[in-house]
Amino acid sequence: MRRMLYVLCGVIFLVLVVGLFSFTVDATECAVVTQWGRPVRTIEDPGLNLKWPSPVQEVNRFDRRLQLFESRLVEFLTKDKKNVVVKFFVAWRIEEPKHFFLSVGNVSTAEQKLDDILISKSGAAVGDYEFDDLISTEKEVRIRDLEERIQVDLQAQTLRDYGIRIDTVGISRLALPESNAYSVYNRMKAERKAIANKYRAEGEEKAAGIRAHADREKSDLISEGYHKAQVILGEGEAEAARIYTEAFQRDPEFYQFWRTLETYDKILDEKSILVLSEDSELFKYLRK
Amino acid sequence: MVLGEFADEKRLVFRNLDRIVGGVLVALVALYVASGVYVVQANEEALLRRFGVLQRETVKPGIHYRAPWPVDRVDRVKIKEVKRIEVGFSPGGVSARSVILPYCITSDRNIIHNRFVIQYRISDPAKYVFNCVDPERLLRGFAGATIIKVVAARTVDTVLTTGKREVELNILGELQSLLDRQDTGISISSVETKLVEPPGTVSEAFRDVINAREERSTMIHEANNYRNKVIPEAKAKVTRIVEQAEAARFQRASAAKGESSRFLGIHEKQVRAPEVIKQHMFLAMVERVLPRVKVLVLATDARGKLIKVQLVRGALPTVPQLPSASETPRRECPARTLEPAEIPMPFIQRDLLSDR
Repeated sequence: MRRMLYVLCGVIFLVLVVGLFSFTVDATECAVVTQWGRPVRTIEDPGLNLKWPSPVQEVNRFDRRLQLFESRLVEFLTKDKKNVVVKFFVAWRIEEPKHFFLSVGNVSTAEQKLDDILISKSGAAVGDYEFDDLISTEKEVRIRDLEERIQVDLQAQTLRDYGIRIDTVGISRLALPESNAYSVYNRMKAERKAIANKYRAEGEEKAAGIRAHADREKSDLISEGYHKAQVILGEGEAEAARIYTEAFQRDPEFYQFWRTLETYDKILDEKSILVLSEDSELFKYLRK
Repeated sequence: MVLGEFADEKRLVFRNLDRIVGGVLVALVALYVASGVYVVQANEEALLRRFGVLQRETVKPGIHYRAPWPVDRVDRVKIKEVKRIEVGFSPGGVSARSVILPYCITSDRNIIHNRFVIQYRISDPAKYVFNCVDPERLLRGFAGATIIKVVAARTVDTVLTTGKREVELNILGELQSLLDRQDTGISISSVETKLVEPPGTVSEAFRDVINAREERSTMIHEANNYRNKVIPEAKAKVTRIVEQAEAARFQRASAAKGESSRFLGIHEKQVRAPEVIKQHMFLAMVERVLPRVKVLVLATDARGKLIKVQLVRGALPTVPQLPSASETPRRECPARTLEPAEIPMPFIQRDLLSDR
């Protein structure tokens, strides 16, 4: 029983010693080992490593993963002298741990330095682009161009000075200065008003067109109808004439007599006064 | 005696202490060893690291064993869970305190606010865990930049109305390629517009445009209604006119047929005894006509001079300038003899009176 206790103590002691003389570097990290404050080793691959216990050698770990940093909102001047307010984000990571450790040391200092360099580099870059390059209907928008250029400029300096690699630079805000924004609002209102007026005018024009067309179609239809009716009536007349002619041609003289009688019948009404001679056919017998 | 008992008990405790301590130690060791058991849930995948080195990239759901701390480390990642973030530029957003309200600028330099809901899941746990410090923050940054870029290339009307879906798809595409380039292990499942609107100060003007568009279609609609009313009416009228004409034609033809057959009938009879029939017809006509007309009969002498005028039937109309005429009693019949002077002038032609 007592032996088991000793074995256990031995194991615990061993673990402690190993713990003192070793350290792990995670897959997300890199480390710089310093001896009396001076960097002696850089470990970039994860795994178990050996070192002298604490006061002699210290381990400085850095997260080697991608980090995001956002700048302040800064007003820049474009090539065509227009003001824009831009905010950038930078995705960066530690490329050279030893360099980073010596020149910067920690993330918040790194961000401070990034901010300074970013503003000067992006100011210069924005100054090479026109406002139309960033925002335009006609031209192709070259925001990506600008971002890539800033990324290259920025990395050139940060990699050399601080061992920081810049993966991406992007615009996370793009705005106009407050004073310009008001004129933009006014212009927007004017544009909308013009569009609204255009719609209304268009509506009136189209409606009037449709009505006029309808009226015209109506009048065409009715004229055509009258024309058809006249043709039909004419046909009627022609047919009647044909029938009459056919019948009356058999005895034109008798027709004349008959027709005259018919006519008398028709034209002599209550208002007519017939003046006849005693010698007339009708009254000849009145004379003695 | 008492002391002896105490010593006995003490010895007992000491004898058992070995066992107690031993038992506790064994239990602790067992617990330590057992702490290596871990469970990966159905919607998860796990990553196994040994001394910081990635050992297994995908540990599937189920119960597993690993070496206990500090040797092995397990990270569970919910790969099937769809996460949701909101990104955009609206005054109600996160950075409401900043001096300049967040907004986007469209290609025709209009200011708009928008918000998008982005849904994503972790497609590659190893990349997700080992490549970024804060993947969600990175995603937000990338998403914001993508939105700015996409909106900057489109007009305000596209962004607000017609191109919503296109904007969403563009953001999705560009954002995904950006995320892939940085090996973030994030896969975007959808981008949806939650809000897109003009700023408050100009929203009235934008609403007016919508109203105007509505008015336009209303006006056109009304005009079409008018057309749909007028044309059928005109067609109906045309039909009526044509039908009337057809009726008139038929009537005319029928009348002609009737008349001609009547004529032919009479003609038939007339052929046998022309003069008699003629005479008969003439008198029949006279019979029909005379009862309704006024008849004056003029008698002349041998030289043709007018000697008397006789009103055979009917009454003469009143002629005020002839007093005698008004005295004349008006009777239907029998015939009465009038002096020529009594005859109202309009009824007798001058030349008729003078000669013959």
